[in-house]
Amino acid sequence: MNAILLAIAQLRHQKLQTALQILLLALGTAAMALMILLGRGLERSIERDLAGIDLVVGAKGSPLQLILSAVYQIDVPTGNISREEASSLAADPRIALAVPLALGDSFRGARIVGTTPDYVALYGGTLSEGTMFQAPLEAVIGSEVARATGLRPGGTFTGAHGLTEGGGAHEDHPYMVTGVLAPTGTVLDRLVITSLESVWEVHKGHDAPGGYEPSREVTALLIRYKTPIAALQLPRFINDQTSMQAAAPATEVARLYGFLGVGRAAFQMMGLAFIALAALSVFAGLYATLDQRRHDLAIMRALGATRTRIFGQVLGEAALIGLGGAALGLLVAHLAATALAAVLGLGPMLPEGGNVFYGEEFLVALLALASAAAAAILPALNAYRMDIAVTLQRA
Amino acid sequence: MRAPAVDIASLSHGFGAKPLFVIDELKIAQGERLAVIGPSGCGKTTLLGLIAGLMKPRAGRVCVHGEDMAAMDEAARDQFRGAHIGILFQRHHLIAALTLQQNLALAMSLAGRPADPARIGALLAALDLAPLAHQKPATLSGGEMLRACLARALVNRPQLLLADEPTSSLDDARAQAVIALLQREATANDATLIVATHDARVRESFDRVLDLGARGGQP
Repeated sequence: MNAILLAIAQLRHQKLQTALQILLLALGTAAMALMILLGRGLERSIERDLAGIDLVVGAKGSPLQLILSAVYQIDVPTGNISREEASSLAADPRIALAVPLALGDSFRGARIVGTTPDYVALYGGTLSEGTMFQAPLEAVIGSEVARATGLRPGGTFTGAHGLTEGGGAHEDHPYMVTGVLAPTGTVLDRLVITSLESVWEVHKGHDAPGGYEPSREVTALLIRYKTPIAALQLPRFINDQTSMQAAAPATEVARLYGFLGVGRAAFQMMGLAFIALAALSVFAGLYATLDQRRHDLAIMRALGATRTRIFGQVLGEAALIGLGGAALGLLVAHLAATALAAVLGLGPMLPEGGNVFYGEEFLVALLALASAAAAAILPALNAYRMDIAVTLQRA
Repeated sequence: MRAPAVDIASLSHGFGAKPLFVIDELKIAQGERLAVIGPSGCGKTTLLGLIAGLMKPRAGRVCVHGEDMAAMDEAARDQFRGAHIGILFQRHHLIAALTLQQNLALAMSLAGRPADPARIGALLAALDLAPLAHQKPATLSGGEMLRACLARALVNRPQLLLADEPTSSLDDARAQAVIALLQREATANDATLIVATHDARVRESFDRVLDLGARGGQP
């Protein structure tokens, strides 16, 4: 009968109390670990979707909106820019790569992006079946779109006006699917990719008689610099000297993290509060049961247990509660992440679901363990200081 | 010549200004049976506690097998007690979370010995407790609890066996049976047996009697 077996027997003897203490600790650990999983998953997803893009150029407006719409495809664009102005900028010698995007339509919630094959290459996209689009009104679809719609090469679909479901359909311009992209874990998986010409073709009839020609516009340019000096010169030049807006994704993403950080911090504080509450419950539980177990511990001393052994025994029981709470909490967090990714459509944010473990989670588990152990210090000290002769005689 | 199992010299102890008892000299030979008698409150339990090293004497010396109990550091005293002394406390108490068998295994482990299922099984069988080996203390009757505590006191084959009022709540027949059991187990293990009792029925069974109440602790 070693100390661990004795601690397990003692905890099993107080099943309900032990279960509640473990549950409380697990709740705190799970809340904090889930925030880490979601936060880090989001960060990785954001980083992946950035794909080395240094600058996004689009119509003037909110720079964050421009980044969200052109890079992450989750907001409405700030407007369009003229093809000529975009082409002239793309020819700048300080630019290594400029990928034009034309947005405006969608298919069952998936955005139709008019672009060049460079856009697919930017995300390392490859075809899992079929061929790349060549002619106008040919398109390749991302893996998620293929899964959701059941479309395969040879299939046709009609785009709807607008970037969300419910817009008027462009019935007279059906697209044909030429290929399906392999999963990349990036924004590409959720898009329909076609040529710029396709988007212009679909919108030809929308040109205004007065000379306004949306069919000759692009929504944004995704730019990679050729030289570091471009980072200093280009954004200022574009913002000051042209009718366009330049936004650096790194800067805007940092702002985005700032917004998200508040919510994340709130959840982490909630997790911390749960852990503190659980530690308090461990303290109260041990303190109360210690009074009932005073005679047990005195008998153990009489049977040869040293004060240190008794101190370790009480601390060990709390540590086991901490270990159980931490392990259960991490398990719950990972199951929740898997469920959120699979059921609630957070797949893009959690591409690995719960099948990934971050170093910070280990720290959270350690925090739960340390909190439980810290809560036991005072009861353990009381047990350590106990006068056995007095305790045995009082009984 | 063998050193006495217990060697007490100039022992004085009490909880107020006046000592509860004074024992100038008391030597108890290995294998001897001593009954410590006297009315309630005369210090019988305290004397057993001093011999077991559960407390330090106010003055004087208590040696067990040549070791001065008060001179040892506390951890060494705890370990010495676990390894050499078996105690049957007045209140029969087992650890509630453990089965009878686990309580005995714990006593072996705390004495620094590996748990010996054969020894535990044999002891429980000898005390008619074998069918209850896997029961928790809450299910035991008073008599079963007494025997279980006795089994725990004996499981390490202690050289010194201390029993505090083992017959106080028993009828004549049961009291005789318990004393006989203690004597038998002490003989089997060549152990010294010291029993604190105010029960006159058991005096005849002992080699010597120390009357703490009548003689202020002088044997």
